[in-house]
Amino acid sequence: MQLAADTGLSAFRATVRDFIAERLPPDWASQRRRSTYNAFKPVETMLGWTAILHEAGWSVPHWPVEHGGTGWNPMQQFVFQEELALADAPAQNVQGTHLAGPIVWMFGSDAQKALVLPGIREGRECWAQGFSEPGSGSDLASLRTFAERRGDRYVVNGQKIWTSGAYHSHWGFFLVRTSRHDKPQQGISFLLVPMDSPGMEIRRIPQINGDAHLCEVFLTDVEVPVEYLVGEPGRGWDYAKALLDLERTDSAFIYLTKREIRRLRRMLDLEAEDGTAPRALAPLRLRVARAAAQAAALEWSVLRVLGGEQQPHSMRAVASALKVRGAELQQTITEIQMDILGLKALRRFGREEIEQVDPATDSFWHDEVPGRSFSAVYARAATIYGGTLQVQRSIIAKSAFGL
Amino acid sequence: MDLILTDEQRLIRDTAARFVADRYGLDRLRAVEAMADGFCPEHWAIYAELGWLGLAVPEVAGGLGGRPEDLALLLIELGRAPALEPFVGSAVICGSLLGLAGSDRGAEVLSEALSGKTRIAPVDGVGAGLGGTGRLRLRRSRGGFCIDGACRIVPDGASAPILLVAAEDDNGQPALVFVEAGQPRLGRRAYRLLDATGAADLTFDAVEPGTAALLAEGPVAARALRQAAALATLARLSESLGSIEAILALSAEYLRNREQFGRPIGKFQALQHMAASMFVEAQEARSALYHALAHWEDGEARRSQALATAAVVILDAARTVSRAGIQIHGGYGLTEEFAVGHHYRRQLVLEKLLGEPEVQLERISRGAAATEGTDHG
Ligand SMILES: Cc1cc2nc3c(=O)[nH]c(=O)nc-3n(C[C@H](O)[C@H](O)[C@H](O)COP(=O)(O)OP(=O)(O)OC[C@H]3O[C@@H](n4cnc5c(N)ncnc54)[C@H](O)[C@@H]3O)c2cc1C
Repeated sequence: MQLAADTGLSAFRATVRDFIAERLPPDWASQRRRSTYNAFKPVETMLGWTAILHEAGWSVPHWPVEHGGTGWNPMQQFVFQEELALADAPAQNVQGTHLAGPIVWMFGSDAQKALVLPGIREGRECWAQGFSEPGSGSDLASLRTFAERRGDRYVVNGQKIWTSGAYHSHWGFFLVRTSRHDKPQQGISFLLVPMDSPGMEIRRIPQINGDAHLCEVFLTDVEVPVEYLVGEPGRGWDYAKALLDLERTDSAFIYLTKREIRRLRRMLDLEAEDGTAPRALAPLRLRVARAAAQAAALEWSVLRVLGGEQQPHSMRAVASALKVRGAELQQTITEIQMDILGLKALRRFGREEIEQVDPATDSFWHDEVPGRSFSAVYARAATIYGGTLQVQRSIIAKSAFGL
Repeated sequence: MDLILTDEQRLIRDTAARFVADRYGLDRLRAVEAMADGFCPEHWAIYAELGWLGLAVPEVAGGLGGRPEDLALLLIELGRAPALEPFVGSAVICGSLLGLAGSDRGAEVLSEALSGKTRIAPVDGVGAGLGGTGRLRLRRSRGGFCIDGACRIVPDGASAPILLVAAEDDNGQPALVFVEAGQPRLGRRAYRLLDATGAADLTFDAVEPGTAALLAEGPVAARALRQAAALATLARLSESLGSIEAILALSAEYLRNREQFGRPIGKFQALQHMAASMFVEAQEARSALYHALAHWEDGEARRSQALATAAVVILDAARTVSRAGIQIHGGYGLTEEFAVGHHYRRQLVLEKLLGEPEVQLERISRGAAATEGTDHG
């Protein structure tokens, strides 16, 4: 065992860093700096930045080379993601790059690949994930949205909820029921649906952080060509599961967490200088140090998976541990950020105010204030989306210990 | 000790509970949040009518001279809504200051405030712990005096018609002064807080309120400010407790009604234990408030220790319970369409106005050092 970083990586890192320095529009970076984790992602910068990365052939590095991937090894991918995060590069539309894309290149037809992959890779089309339903959250397999086959079309009826970014998406990938089966998982299929199809109605849900990024999608007699069903009918559940195995480490959010640790230190300095509200920062410094320690460990938990370490436990348990600690850290870190700001954290900044960086901010309302509470409140979702904290713990108990 | 409510106290509690039930359903709460500065004039008129605006004002000054227990009972109920009216600022802080200090202009403003005709926002420019942050100075000048400085994040500072300003005079002593909102050279930058209530950054650039506006100064003002700050802390802690108990009730209901995997989610032990922990927190929170009330008359040092002690327990409980409440609600907890998220935001506001648990712990350890060796009854 030799755990020091490979020397070859630093040259790679320098190349990536140079590219970002040259191509990342500064106002996109300052806008991104205002947000934390995935609290908000304007569609223009998500797609715009993907398009810029695409020019270098780097928009979907983790895809197979024949579909536009880079062929980088896992450590190169790690460094790439890390550099993007540290430079405050805009988020990508992960529903496209990490979910819809891989599903299609793993299980889709050639026609689907030609239809879907270029738009994702080139940053032309935004995707939304239509899995959850009002009555089917943790118990996703109970979903009821039904796609009935009529000739060369499916006619879809039902309702989805929490469909992030549906209102600005071109496409949605939906889990729908195509047959009634005894075992609920078996009647589920994976369907690609243009979001402007007649019969689609989208309602944005007002969130407690002032945003309205989550949507309800009502589908009434939405007609979808049968060619848009991915793979075989009734196999949608297996495909969705396969996705989880593909991207085990993403839910750790390690890249953004490292960025936020840096921000914490910057914020402590800014508040110490501010002086208008003399507050005891010493306990906060200790909390920052603890979060930084936890982040350092989490980074190695990610690296152990990327490095392919043989672990005595099932990888599902390992992946859920990443998700649990990753989500907890998001909440811990954003909470410390609010506590560092104290009273200042109470000022409500709307999404527009956060997006439009106001150069006139004074030293009291410094640049690290807007966006912190917005993000901290949203971070409560980190233990809910993508499998709740309780569900992850159950997975660990079951797959690590057979309980 | 007597844990049974008096008739009067039961009346306060029941009236407030009815107000919240009738006037503060989720739809109504959202409507109030959408109003200018999150302030509902209709509600304020009810506060006046029910006499609540005089509860913290001594009887000699025309108020009800309520006991701290009365105030706590009222605010526990209002916290269940959570009610957004600037009651603590106008009625508790300014109400008690006006009652204690006493002057002609004070009596005039007080009677308008009691009737709900006007509203007063406290502007704490001396670090008295009323909410808001900043420094204000009061200089004697030929025609009277003038105020300079800035005070930020003043709750209700955006639209209260009258400001009750605490500023430091030439001798380093606090002075209490009325300032009409429309005064020349008074700058206001208005914004909303996380719970949708209004606040403002105020700048005073040689603002001259006129000599009649001086309400109190020196030791009298200092004592009044300490009393007001203690009452404000008690009131906000009570509000937080009410909100904690409300989140508990909302969560219990959700646990019973929401079904996943073919059964109510309350059947899952993971959530049962979460709810049980919330229950423990809520129990301790109420007990902590009683602790503070029990030491109210034991002198200022003891009282402020007891308040900080209560604050540690209640603020910790508020964090645990409000987060668990959201977690139990899943995605729905993140939306404006369920009450639990509104409570979460309100708790954040109360916590920051009170000072986070670490701040309270600091106070306790400082106070403990200062009172070492004195009576610990
Ligand atoms: C910010 C955000 C973005 C999202 N984006 C998307 C998206 O783009 N597309 C999409 O399809 N979905 C999305 N979701 C939905 C998300 O996947 C669901 O919220 C999640 O699966 C939980 O479902 P639920 O909200 O219905 O909660 P529920 O499943 O109703 O859970 C309520 C509570 O019960 C607990 N619980 C449930 N079952 C059990 C059990 N068996 N044992 C113990 N406890 C249990 C949960 O842990 C939770 O505390 C998003 C959610 C959020 C909050």
